[in-house]
Amino acid sequence: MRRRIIAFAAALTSVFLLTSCGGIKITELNERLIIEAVGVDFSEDGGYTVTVQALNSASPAGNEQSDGNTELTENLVFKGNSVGEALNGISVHTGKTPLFSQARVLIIGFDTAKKNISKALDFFLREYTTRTDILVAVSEGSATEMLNASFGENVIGASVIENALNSGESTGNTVGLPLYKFVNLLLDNKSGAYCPVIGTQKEELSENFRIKIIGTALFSENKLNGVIDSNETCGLLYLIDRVSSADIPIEADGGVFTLRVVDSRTKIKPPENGGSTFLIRINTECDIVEFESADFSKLTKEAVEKVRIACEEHIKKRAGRAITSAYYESDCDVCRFARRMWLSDPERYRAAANEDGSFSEKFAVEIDVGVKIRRTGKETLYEE
Amino acid sequence: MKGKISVFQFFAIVFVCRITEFFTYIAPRESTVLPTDRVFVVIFFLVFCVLALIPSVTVANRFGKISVPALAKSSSDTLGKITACIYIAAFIWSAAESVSRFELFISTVMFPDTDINMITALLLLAAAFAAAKGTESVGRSSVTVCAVLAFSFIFIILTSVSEFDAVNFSPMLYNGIGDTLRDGFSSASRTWEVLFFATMLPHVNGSATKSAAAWLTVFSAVTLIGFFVIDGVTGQYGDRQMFKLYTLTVLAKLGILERFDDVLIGIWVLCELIKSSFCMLAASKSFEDGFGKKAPKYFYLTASGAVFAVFTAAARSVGQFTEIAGSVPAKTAFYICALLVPSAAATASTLSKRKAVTDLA
Amino acid sequence: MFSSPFKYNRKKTGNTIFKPKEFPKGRKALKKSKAPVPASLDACIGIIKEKFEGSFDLLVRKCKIQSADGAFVLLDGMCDELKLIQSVITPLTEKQIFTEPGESLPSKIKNVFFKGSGITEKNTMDDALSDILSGCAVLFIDGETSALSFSAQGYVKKSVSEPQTEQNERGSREGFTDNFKDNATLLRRRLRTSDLVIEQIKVGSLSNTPLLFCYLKSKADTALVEKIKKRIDKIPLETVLGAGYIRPFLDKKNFSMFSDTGLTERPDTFASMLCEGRIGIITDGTPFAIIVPYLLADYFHVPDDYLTPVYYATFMRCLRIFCFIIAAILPGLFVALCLFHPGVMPSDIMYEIASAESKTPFPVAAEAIIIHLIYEIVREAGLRMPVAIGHAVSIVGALVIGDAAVTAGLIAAPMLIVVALTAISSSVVSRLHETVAVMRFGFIVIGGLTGLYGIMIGLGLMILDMSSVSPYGIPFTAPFSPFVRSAQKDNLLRRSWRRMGKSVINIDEMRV
Repeated sequence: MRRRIIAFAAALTSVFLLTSCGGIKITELNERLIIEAVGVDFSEDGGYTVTVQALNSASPAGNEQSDGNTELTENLVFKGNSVGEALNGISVHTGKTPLFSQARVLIIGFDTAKKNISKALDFFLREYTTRTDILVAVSEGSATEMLNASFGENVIGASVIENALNSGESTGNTVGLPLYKFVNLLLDNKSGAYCPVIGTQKEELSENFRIKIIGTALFSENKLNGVIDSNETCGLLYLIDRVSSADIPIEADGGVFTLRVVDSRTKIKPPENGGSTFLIRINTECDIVEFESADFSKLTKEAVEKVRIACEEHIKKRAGRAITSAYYESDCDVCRFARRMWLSDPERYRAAANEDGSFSEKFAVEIDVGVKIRRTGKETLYEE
Repeated sequence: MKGKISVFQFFAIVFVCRITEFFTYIAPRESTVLPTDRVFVVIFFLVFCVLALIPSVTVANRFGKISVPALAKSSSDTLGKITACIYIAAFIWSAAESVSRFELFISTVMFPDTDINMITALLLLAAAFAAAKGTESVGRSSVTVCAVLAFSFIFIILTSVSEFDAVNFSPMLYNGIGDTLRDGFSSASRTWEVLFFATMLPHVNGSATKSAAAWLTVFSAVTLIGFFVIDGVTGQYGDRQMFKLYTLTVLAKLGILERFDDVLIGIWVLCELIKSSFCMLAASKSFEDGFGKKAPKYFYLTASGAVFAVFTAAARSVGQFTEIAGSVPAKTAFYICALLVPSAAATASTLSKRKAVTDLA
Repeated sequence: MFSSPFKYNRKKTGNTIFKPKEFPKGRKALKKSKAPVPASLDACIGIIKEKFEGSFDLLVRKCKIQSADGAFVLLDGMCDELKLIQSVITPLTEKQIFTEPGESLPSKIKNVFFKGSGITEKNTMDDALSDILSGCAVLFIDGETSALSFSAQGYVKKSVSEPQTEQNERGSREGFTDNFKDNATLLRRRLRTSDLVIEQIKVGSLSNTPLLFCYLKSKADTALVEKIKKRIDKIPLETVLGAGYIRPFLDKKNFSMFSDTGLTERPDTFASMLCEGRIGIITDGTPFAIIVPYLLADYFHVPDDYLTPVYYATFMRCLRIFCFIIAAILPGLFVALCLFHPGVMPSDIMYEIASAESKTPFPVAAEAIIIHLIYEIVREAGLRMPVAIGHAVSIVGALVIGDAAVTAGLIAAPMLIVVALTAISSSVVSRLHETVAVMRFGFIVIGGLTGLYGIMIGLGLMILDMSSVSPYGIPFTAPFSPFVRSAQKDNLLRRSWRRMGKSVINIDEMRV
């Protein structure tokens, strides 16, 4: 046994020695550039401008030795013929190895998205340290401007953007989309891709900026084909079954009601029996959170019913507008109608795809909304 | 009983060995079928595997739990030696293929800018050490690894199932059944674990048929669930990724605990260690059964060296590896080892027994 | 105070020369001489003095037994003189002894005068010497070819106290002592059954250390008992001064980080292990008793588990396993994550670690090794130092490592937290400290060189090493792997005593 152990030990040592032990590249944590956000813009000379928001390790949060003047993050801007080349420049400049695993958001400049977004994304799909669930967004202007905006002292910009994108979805304003889902939609020729569009807005009383949700960017064949506003985005969220919470203001019965969506389910049925209409059924449950009228009025059953109907109309209208803008005007199949048809009736899909004209021209969409009022707050219901 | 493992331990070993292949399943080159059709691929895989298993299990059941090299040796010493050599080569190839696949995976997602020779050598040395510890040690360890594996698999599935979207699937058999059948056949022809049933069953307490059935059923079920969730969650994106299951693990997270992929890769390292060590063990048992003497002192280290040599030749690039692993000679070799060798050994043994009876009469 | 009526014939000794010929070493010494007790008293005393050449504590007290000359031979400090005078010497010298024709004086004294177990007749010089060495007073009578050994031991010993290494909250406060007889009593008090066998075996050709070989007849496997006895018989050592001398001979030969045997300082633990069909070995001169076979699961069980509610015991057992894993791999894992897989860490935590590490001059792996070395040095110093200074060492260690090094920027605070957590965790499974302390360094090195990949290979090898240990045919990893269903009632989960059934699980059930 002793001999065997010696043999193994000798072999193990020789493994390390013969491969010079340098077989594996060891990078200390302080030799890494911890990237929080990346922005990609096409530059005028045909290459790429990559903006990187990296943590400034010289400014430790909560460290007693910090003088307090150093910013938490530093923005580094480099150009290159490709995204990879530009990022390599950052490595050369800082002497550190970029680490993308902590990156929270990937911002694509508006013009870049218009030209071809897949080119800008390719590096991040291949880079092994990138998270596939990093959030993707298109900036209103350039990505550099977006990332260079100051959101306050000791505030990580990427974190602010990430929070805005996440909370935007929960309030029904925008679609927070991770990279892998976005790419999945881009790659699928039977679906349309979309992602949020965000911008910055200067605060009135300070030099700082805040995030402004513009709406949703719609893509067709890897190119930005249109943008829908936040109201239409809310409709889009209903269509793609991603409404987790949204406030709906309804004017009815002499006052303004605010309804909060607590649950929403959307089902899309492909055309059956030779029909040519996709049926979208949206079932929503809402709570009445506010009833704003001239004076404190009693909430009656009839009024609630009127609100319910008005709410159904409201959702239908929003979803309809979203369909019109995205599906018909921007040629972006956000509801993945073509794919659904391919799944349910491949022969018919094949026939439709072989025919001339776009898919949207051949099939109509019908939206059916059902709203249920669940709670009316603490106040009781009155008989009229 | 000393030197023997239980059916469950054997199941755990074979399951762990096979699951490494599933983890490191290189999608685009090895599969051309649409997501939903993978259900049929698994069914065809099951059918081909059952066919490949029949000779080995029959030998074990009919000749009283004897390994194929030992059975061949009982009829002729030369045949025993030839059979042992074939199996040793097969196990070395199986370990090398697995290590190559795994190292391609490691060098793609773990240490891309690294010379993989060192980490491979480290793994193989560890595997040789593990094999030297004996069948029982590997059996018991594999149960632990299997438990950890089951826990991680369930964790991945549960944490990613919320992102599941049925629209990511495809119509059934949209491109016909040909590709699906071919894929099932190819997958089965890479299932070198079948050979463990030809060589290691004498070291297992319990029914050969039961262990084979349990292994195939559980593995097929896990594969089916795995593919179902991968395709439902990652869709087209996952379809283009080299390592599909890895793509899914990247998405697994629980609260502040994110990026479980590295941790899961670690668990896969354990699986690979078990697989390589068991291949070496099986090779040494084949030697002992076929040559009728104890394996040489440094058999495991030599086997590690052989595996490393094959790995060095095969895993230079992804393209080269997939071409070699999926080549017609490789597939033919598998079916020769799984079908022809056990059948030949059984026939030779029956004939020699008959002859002995006739001579006696 | 008491004054002896006898003259002390203490031999004046100068520097003696050791004569190897007279004291055969090693295995040869084990072969006992069958030389009978010489009839001449002077010859007897001469042999004894020759054997104990230069020993100041050898006492030879001459006396008259009837008309014959006699001499009591004893070792000063080993024998209770008062007891000897009151119960042996006074009655012997004061009363008349009448011997029948053909009856020897020693037999008469033994059978008539002192009826009882405290007196034995010795026919060979070696037996007589052995008894002298054990603290008995041996009486040689001129003209008699046998000696009488009186059991009047009265040496200094430590009293029963609380076990130092296995503290508990609700259980017994008694621990084993250095004296094997006291330990046997402690055991007998817990297992009042004739089923309990306590055999005495002597090991060590020079030290002649008594071992108590304990087992329950109805529970222990006979083959196991024989196997262990054989191994003990084959121990070739000259001296056995503690349980640690014997353990390697009870382990199987293969090199492993895990032992087939376990140690306990607690009589209750020892008794419960015997009830499970295991074999216990008590060594004279140490409060640590050996238990064979000892399994992995035993390291995570403590007596308090059986005295606390089931849910708490189960929780604590899980926690102990977790602590074992942490104690072994946490520093290595931390190094691997920092160097190779920082992406696994949540951003905020990673940021704090990165900023702390950026201010230290050492690479993470070196830092981990340095702090662990310092920790082990402080621990060792704390153990070896007198208690009063030990506290000072701990304070200095805590200040030097904990505060000054961090403030000076030599060591990062997160690393210190990791080391502290590791140290505390290893204390939870203190019985595995030796194994864990060495493995930890291995994991740091391999984690620093190859990251998680190496850590997992190391972990795999650790599992394989554990799995390869099979003490006397019982897998060390049982009842986890192989999974023994019947043993699960007291494994990770502990069932209540009501549900545990009539008897506890027998170790033999885990044999596969």
